Amino acid sequence: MKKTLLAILLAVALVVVPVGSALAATSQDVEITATPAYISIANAPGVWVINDVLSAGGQTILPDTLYYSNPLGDTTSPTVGGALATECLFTITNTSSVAIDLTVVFPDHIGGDASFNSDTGSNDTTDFGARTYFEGQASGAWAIAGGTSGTTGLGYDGLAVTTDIKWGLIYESQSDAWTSGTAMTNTVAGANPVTITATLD
Amino acid sequence: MKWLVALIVVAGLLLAGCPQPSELPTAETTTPPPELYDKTWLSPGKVEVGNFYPGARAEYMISIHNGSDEPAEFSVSYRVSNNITEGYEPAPAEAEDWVIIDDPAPVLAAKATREVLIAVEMPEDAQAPPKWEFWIAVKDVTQTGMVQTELACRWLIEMK
Repeated sequence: MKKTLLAILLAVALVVVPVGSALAATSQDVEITATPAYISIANAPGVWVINDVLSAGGQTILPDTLYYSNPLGDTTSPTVGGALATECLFTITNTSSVAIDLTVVFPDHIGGDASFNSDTGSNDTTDFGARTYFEGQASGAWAIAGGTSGTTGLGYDGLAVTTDIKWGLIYESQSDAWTSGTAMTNTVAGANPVTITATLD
Repeated sequence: MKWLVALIVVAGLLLAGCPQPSELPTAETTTPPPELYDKTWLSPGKVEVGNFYPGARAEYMISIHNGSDEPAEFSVSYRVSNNITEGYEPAPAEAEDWVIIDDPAPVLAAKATREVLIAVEMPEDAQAPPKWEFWIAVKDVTQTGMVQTELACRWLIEMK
């Protein structure tokens, strides 16, 4: 009798507990669809030495100064009516299967007299401002490169498939002199990089 | 004893008739084009969750491909969306706690593809806008240099 009861309990358990439901799954009535696109980008170069694009600025950053990743000059603004390709240091290639949007986060500096992103695109007494510019964009479209993903604007909308575009970064150093008065290294790199993110357009 | 056996059988049959969680959706899958073999990519580009409600769970597999010739470690993380899809609002601040990433630091061999399960589980007493968005960001953390790249999948949630 005990064996019979055990067998019945086991059979009932197999009916009630479908195999593979050990992990919670999507709730009933919830609908999920996906756009089967492949998101992929390549960017080069991966390096920008502020105030040293042409290896002539000595890498020294002065307070209250605008610096550009412009191969034509570290303090030379791109053309405000529409940045030229020759004024852009970086090239990004959309290797996705779809058109993409691009946004850039420029994190706070770490180390030394650490400087922080104002998230406004402009500097203030203790914060730097950062923006992006893309080839062809007039200055009004140069988006804020905030310090976090929630504070960054859309850098480029709808880069087509298998298309390159040139782009650059603008860095406006804080207006107050750094407090220590001592030359030091202040880092945005490695584990704390500027990050360009691609998403489906 | 016969009545006990009968009761167990009936109870089991009744329970078997109860609604079960849905199977993990297997949306249309495609084979990546050959030119993407040497590229690092993320798929899908967008996950849309409909008919969502407090207390519900939605999950989907994302795929990551390491296009490099070397092994690479990736970070898979929740990301606030800074370029919101029209008609949607930013996810509530607490939504980050609702998102479960099965493997936030996968290591992929050269040219390997890995699936990572992403789930969003909304507490029963939570609130959210009618339509909200967050991203799942994937980044090769073996990158060096000041400027690095990241890929993100949009998650669009529409409430019941």
